[in-house]
Amino acid sequence: MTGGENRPRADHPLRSVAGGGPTETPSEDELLAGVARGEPDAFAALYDRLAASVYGLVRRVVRDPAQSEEVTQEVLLEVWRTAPRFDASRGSAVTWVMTMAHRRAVDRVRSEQSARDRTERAGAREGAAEHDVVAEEVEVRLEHEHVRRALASLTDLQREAVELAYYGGRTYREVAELLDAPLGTVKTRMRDGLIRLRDALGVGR
Amino acid sequence: MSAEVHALAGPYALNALPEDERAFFERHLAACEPCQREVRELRATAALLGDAIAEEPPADLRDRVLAAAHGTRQQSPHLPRSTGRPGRLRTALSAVAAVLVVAATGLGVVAARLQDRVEELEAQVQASRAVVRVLQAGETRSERLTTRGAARAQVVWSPRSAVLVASRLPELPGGSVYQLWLIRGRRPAPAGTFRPEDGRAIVGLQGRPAGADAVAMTVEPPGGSPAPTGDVVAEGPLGT
Repeated sequence: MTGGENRPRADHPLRSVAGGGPTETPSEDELLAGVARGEPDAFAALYDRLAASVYGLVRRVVRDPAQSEEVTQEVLLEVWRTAPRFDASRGSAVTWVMTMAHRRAVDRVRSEQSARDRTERAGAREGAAEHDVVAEEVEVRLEHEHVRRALASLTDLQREAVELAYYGGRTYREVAELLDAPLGTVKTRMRDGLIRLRDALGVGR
Repeated sequence: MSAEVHALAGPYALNALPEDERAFFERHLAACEPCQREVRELRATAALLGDAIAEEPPADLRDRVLAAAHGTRQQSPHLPRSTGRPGRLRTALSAVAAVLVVAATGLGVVAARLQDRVEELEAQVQASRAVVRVLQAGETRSERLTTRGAARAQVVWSPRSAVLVASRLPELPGGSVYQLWLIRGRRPAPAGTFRPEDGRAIVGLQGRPAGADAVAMTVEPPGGSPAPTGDVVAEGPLGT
C-alpha cells in the first residue's frame, strides 16, 4: 500500500481514494438508497455485493440451475423496480433482498410441487433421509464458520426444522410430516430455534 | 390463543406457513408490535443463513440483469403531479362515457342473474353513485394504471371521488379479495375491497382522492387488510 518505490503512482487517481480509508466503501443500505434514486451504478454495485448471496440461496431451494438463474434475475429486477418504496425502518437492505429471494424461491418450488404431488405421492421420500441430504449439502456449502457454529448449538429438532423450512423450502406442515413430529411442536421449534440463532449471531442487538 | 399466534412468527420468518395461515398471521402482525419486532429480527437471522451459502451465479447473468433493469421502470414513491393538459378532458370524458355504459350493462346483468345477492347489487349501486359523483364534480381525470399480466385497469376521478374500472382480472383463490389503496406520500390508506365478476369490476373507491398521489391495487386475504400485504397488481399516479 505505502511502498510503490518501483512505480511511483502519486498521480494515480485511485491513490488518494485508497488512502482515504475504509469509509469509502458504501454500505448495502447506502447502495440501495442510490438504486432508489434510479442510479444504474449503485444497482451494479449492489448486484456485485448481493448476487452471490441471492443465487446461492435460490439455488439451494430451487435446485435446478436454469430455474435458479431465472428466479435470481426476477428477484434482482424486483429490487431495482421496488427500491423507491423500500422502507429502511423495517429492516436492512440485505434482509429485504434475502427475504424477497427466499419468498420467490419458495413460491417457485411450491407451485412446481403441487403439480408434481398430484401425480406422484411423496411416499418414496423418508423424512429423516431428506433431512440428512439437506443437512449434508448445507454443511458442505456453509462458508461462514459462525453460522455453522450457531446451527450446531441448536437441538436436533430445532436445527432440522429450521433447515428443512429455510434451505428445503418446506412448509411447517411438511416438516412435521417429514420429521414425524406434532405440528405445534414444529412451529414452536422453528421459532425458538431462530431465536437461539438470533442470539448466537447477535442479530438486532 | 394468543401464544399460539405468536409462535407463527417462526414459521412466518422462514416462509414456512401455508398461504391461508400466512394471511391469518399477517392480519395479526399488522396490529401486534412485539411480533413485528420479532419478525424483523428473525428475518434478519434467516438472511444470515442464506448469506452463508452464497454461490457465484453464472458470469453472464450480471449483464442480463443490468440490461433488464435499464429497460424497467421503477416504482416511484412520490409520483409526479400531472398538470391538466388539453387532451386530458376528452380522454376523461370518453372514459367516463365508457364507465357509464359498462356500469349500466353490469347492473342489468347482475340484477337479472343474482337477484338474491343484494350485497352485490348494493356494491354496483354504490359504484354507479360514485360514477355520478365523479361526473357531477365536473373536474374529472382518468389514468390507465400499470398492471400485471393481461389485466386492464383505469381510474376516473375528481377531487371528491374516484372509480376503478377493470377487466381481465385473474380469478382469486379462496376468499381472497382485490383491495384498493389511496396513497398519500408513502402511506397507503385502504379504499375498499372487491371480487371481480367474470374478471370485470367497476368499484367506487372509499375515501377522497384529493391529496392522494397514487392509487394501487393488491391481492389481500378475505376481508382485506389494514395495510397492503399482497403483491401490487395495478398502480398509477393520481394528480389532483
